[in-house]
Amino acid sequence: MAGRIPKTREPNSQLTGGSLRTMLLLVGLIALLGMIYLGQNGQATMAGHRAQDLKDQYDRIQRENAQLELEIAQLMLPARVADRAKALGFHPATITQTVFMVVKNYPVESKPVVARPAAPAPGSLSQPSLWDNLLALVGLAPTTNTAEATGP
Amino acid sequence: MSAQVLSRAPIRMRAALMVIFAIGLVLAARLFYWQIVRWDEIRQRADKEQSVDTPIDARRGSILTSDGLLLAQDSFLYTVTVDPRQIDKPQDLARQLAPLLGQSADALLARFKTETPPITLTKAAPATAGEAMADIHKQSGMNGLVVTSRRVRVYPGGTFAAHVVGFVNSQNAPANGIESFMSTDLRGVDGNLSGASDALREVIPFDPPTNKPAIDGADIYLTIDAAMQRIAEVELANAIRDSRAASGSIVVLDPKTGAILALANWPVADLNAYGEPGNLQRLLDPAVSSQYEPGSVFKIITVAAALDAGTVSPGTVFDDSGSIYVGGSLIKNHNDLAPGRVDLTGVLRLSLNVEATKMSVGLGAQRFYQYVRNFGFGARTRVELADEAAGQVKSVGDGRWREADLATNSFGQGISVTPLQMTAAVAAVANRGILMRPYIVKQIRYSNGSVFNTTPEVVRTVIRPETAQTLTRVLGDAVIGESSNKATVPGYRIAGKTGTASIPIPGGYDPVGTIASFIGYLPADDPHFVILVKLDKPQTSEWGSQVASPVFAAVAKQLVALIGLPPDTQRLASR
Repeated sequence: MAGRIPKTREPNSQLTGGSLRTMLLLVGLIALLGMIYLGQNGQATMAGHRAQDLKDQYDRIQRENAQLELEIAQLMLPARVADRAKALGFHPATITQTVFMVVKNYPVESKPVVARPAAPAPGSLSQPSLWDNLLALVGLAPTTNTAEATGP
Repeated sequence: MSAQVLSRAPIRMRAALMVIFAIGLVLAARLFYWQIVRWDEIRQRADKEQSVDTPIDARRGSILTSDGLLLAQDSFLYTVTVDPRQIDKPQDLARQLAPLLGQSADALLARFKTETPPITLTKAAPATAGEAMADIHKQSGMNGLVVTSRRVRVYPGGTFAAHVVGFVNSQNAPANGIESFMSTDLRGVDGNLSGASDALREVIPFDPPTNKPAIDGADIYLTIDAAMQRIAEVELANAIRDSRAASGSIVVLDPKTGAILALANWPVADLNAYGEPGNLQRLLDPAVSSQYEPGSVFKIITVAAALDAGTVSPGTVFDDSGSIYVGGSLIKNHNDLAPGRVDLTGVLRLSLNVEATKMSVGLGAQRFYQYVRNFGFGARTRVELADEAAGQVKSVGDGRWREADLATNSFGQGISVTPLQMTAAVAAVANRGILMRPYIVKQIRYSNGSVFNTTPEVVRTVIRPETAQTLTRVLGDAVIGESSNKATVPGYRIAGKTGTASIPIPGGYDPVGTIASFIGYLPADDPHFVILVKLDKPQTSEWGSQVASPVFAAVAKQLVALIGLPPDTQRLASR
């Protein structure tokens, strides 16, 4: 093996164009993923804060609503209503002051009475047709039906 | 490194490797100890420090009358404290807080200067003012202003229907009435919010928290009608004042369904002030939890039993000599009355103890007590109110019963009932002999939207419809025939009975005090209301006919006007 110069490996000091592109692509991809991740995190956090704000707002409105309901209840108390009515000059109606109207055979719990349109009497309610009017103009009008309408 | 290579290595290197290996072994052992052996404990400590678990209180359901009047509801009260030393511009803060606290800014500033911090400005600010002050704190970021809130139970009616509603105390424990009996439905289920926490021990919104939402309690609508309740309360207060009675109750029941339309007791107290001296006692509901000897109103039950069993009839003529011996005890009519020959109407009109005794003796103990128990005495009615008493009915052979009890029980002495039991029993007569379970919860509205409606419940048929009809007629005639009875309602036929009961005391009966009562229903042919009026120890008169009957009439007149029930003549003419 004498005289043979061993072949030494040269350090790969320069990256080839393809490797560089691959590396840059990888870095870009990692950066992009990072940005997406951070962006989503940020959005999720913002949404979380927004949801919490809305929850707080909802709770607040509920609390205020409960207070208003209590105030309404106090205003609607029979004692207060009676006092107010008395101050305005009203007094409870007694049964002797109440006038009842007796309706004999009143259809209690029957189906609602629906007014039916009255059946027109033959000839009495119909409007004259154009042909009748033309005939009337030339003196050939049909005989007018003067019979009174009678109920069914 | 192979064993061969290691064996050729210098001894120092081998020693070093052994040391490194030993250290590694120790580290692995420690790691095993912390990560495996004490894993649970360490994990729990970490969770405790890094996460927060906040309870979410369920809203306690509201209580309302049948017509929607709010009787009980959860609300929030705010406490506001100020430390002026940590406030940059106290004048500005005083100006902002003044209108919310209903005080002048100058007064607030004076307090800032004179009082020792922290100064509590209010402990009971309502939600609108409290939230506005919380906003001031949030916007200004002042550390010297602290606004906190707490959930409280509020009763807007105060004393209105207080015995029915009950209350929840500061330890969140319910007491009395609906609050206690329906607490399971009212209280709901608390939730919680768990998640990673920040330095302020608040849940980080980013980390999805485990949220177990609270399930709010159900809203409960009662059968109580606000206007009828008001009538009962006003008339009871008037009766207590006029008769100078120690206490009293009025119960109004719909006999066809058993729905309690009004239930009033005196004395009463404001539910919002349950903690004040004496109020706990005043808020117990005697209409369901107190027992009393009903006296002559119980003759309705005795006569019903005798009529139903056929031992007497409307045509029976009684010969009353004024006294009778039963089991060695002398039974007499009140005022030593000895009317001679009377019919059944006369027995009720004159309220003859001797004839009631003859009826119960004629029935026999077994049959008489069977009727009494069938009418619901001696057992709880199962109304939805807390602390209901069962009453006391002796039984043959129970060791306490004596033969004389058969006599005294027939006219309502020696037997204990609750006002609600008595009302429900007479309602059975009004309802053609059918006993209905009295109920006060009309509807339950759950937070998930489902609704439960109470269906009227038949307990049993206690007497035949014909018996009920006959008894109603006799009771109506007796009311009309008793000139001193003030229970009449012009235009309406009523059926009813007075009662004047002695009050048991240790060793006998109170020689002075009585329980005066009247129970009746109207209109007699188609009853809409059964009304019990009970006054304890009235001072102006001891008789039910004198002090309780007028109250019945006053309540009944207003009730028929309220619902627009025409007088009998007009109502029957329209049929």
